[in-house]
Amino acid sequence: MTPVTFNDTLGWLHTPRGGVGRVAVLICPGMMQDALLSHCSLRVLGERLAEAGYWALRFDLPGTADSLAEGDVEPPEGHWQSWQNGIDGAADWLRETTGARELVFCGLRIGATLATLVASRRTDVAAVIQIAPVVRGNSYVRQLLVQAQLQTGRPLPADADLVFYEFRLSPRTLAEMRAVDLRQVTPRPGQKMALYPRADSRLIDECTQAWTAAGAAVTRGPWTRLEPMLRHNIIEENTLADFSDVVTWLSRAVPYDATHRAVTPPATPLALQTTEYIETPMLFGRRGRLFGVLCRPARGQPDAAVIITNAGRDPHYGSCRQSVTLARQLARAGIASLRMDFAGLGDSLGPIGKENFLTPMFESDRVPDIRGAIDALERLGYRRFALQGLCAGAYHSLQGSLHDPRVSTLLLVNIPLFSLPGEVMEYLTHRSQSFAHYIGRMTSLDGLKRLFTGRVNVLRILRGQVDHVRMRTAETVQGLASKVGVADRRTPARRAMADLSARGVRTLFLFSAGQGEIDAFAREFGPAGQGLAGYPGAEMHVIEDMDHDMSQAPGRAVGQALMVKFMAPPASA
Amino acid sequence: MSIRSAVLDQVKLVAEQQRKTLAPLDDDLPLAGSGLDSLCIALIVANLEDELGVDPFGVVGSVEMPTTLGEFIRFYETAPGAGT
Repeated sequence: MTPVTFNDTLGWLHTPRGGVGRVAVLICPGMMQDALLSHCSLRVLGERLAEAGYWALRFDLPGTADSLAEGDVEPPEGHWQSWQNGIDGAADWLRETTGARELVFCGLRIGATLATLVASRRTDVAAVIQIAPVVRGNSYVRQLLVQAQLQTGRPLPADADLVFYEFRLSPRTLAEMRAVDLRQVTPRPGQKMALYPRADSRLIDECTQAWTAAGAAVTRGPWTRLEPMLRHNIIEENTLADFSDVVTWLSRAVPYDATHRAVTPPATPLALQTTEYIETPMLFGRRGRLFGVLCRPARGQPDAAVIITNAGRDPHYGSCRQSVTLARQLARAGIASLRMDFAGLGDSLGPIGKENFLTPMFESDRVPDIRGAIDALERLGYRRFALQGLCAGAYHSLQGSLHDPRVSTLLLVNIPLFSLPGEVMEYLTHRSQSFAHYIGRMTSLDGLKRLFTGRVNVLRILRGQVDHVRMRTAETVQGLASKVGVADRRTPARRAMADLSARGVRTLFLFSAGQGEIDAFAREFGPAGQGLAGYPGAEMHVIEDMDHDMSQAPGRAVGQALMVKFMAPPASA
Repeated sequence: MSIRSAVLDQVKLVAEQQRKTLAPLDDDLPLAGSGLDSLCIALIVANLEDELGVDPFGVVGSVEMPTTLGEFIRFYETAPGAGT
């Protein structure tokens, strides 16, 4: 697979084995949470299609992921039309680049809806593969509105923009989305449609009937092996989706034609450029198995680069595109960045033989990946390195800084722990659910708070408290051991800060408000960070409006501004 | 299928899809303690709109929001257009 850029967006071209391929498959991603969850599985889909003899292109819709467009700015044609234009443009690029004669569209969730709309207007789309398609735009918009309301705790005024994830969706865009109903879309006669619904429903039945009546050949396939596209567990290793059923169907419905001699795709310029920054996809690390996007200022040659790591297991662009917005803000301040995927996340391949797995969130050694990123940046001339991470990314950034003396700055957001307890998942799942914290969250829901008041899961919370006590007991034992001279008195956190401080590493800790977020830090350095006084170069801030994932725009803006300020060179420099 | 059955079916379906462990479903069960999170609730509302053709949340702001599962079911049973 090869990173490509076109039409102000980033994509991945999967080249068919053996250099044949009369048919090219355009993979249309879902959006927001659907996109984050399915990113790695769609990489697997691209690879499976290439192995089966098809060209495949994954790409970012305008305003999403690594595309240049901003999702929170409505384009003149509106988001809904812009996304369809994005699919049309990618389809044209794919045909032109590969010489493919026929296209197949494969979409997920709202991406499937968009793909079906665009395919109904084109004459070169032989088939459409729809994975868990959104049939009615109205119910999809309702889902977004309810979710936004529950997350913010504020009812949304009628006829206001919906600000959710990376988007600002105007009433016009929402109205256009609501108006879509796949049952009323007429496929071209003879077009082949493969439906992989997540569950049977009346709407899917009606789609099948309507499209069959219009002359399309409609097939319904099983969902079971596709489940990892939309769901995986929080922390442990996960198998990615298995597309055997999809590829088998495609190879029968639209054979790739082994007699066709494919053209070699021309080398395309890789950089995406604006007047403020230049972004270039990079493969690095051992055998080029790691991936990241280098973002550098359009002018000047900075010597500092921030390595932005995965938050949890989200792809390198981050939930709500937060890594993209941070990278571009840094570039405006004259600082370069590499937003990267750790091995087995996003577009970086996992260990050999485990390419079809999502690697564990915490219990993976990310130090080699961080070293690989620094090595790559060093070869490009960068000399000062910072690591940025949120949650698990903060933990891995801290570990990376302890193992690589080239790191001079840390930007750590909501670091949940400083060393790994044995039962990391249990600990993290339950650590923050003290009664006070839980009730505090409940009562912050304002207009919808009654929806979330009432009984809480006492058993789960008690289990969390047990883990919490276990951690504290371990610390006490360590303290006793040090008193009798059999152990270093300092905890891993304090040892880390002492080492970093001695090296002159500057560290910024940012936390969301709420006891659970700051728990591990507060035990070491106090709830206001007073314990950091002994470590020059370290500081901490609690940001009231920031949530754990930085998914709410106001808090995210404050947090990112603080990180840019911490990184920005002194005025005299 | 009654509206009650449709709501309960969707609650179970979404909980299974999202790997949530549901508390025993009875009318007094507070939604907060049901095991469902905000995404689950949003998906249930979207699915019910598709299945039942009613959208009681479409008039949010002028209605009392449900607290318990029983209230949530009645929310749909009494929504404009329900049962038609």
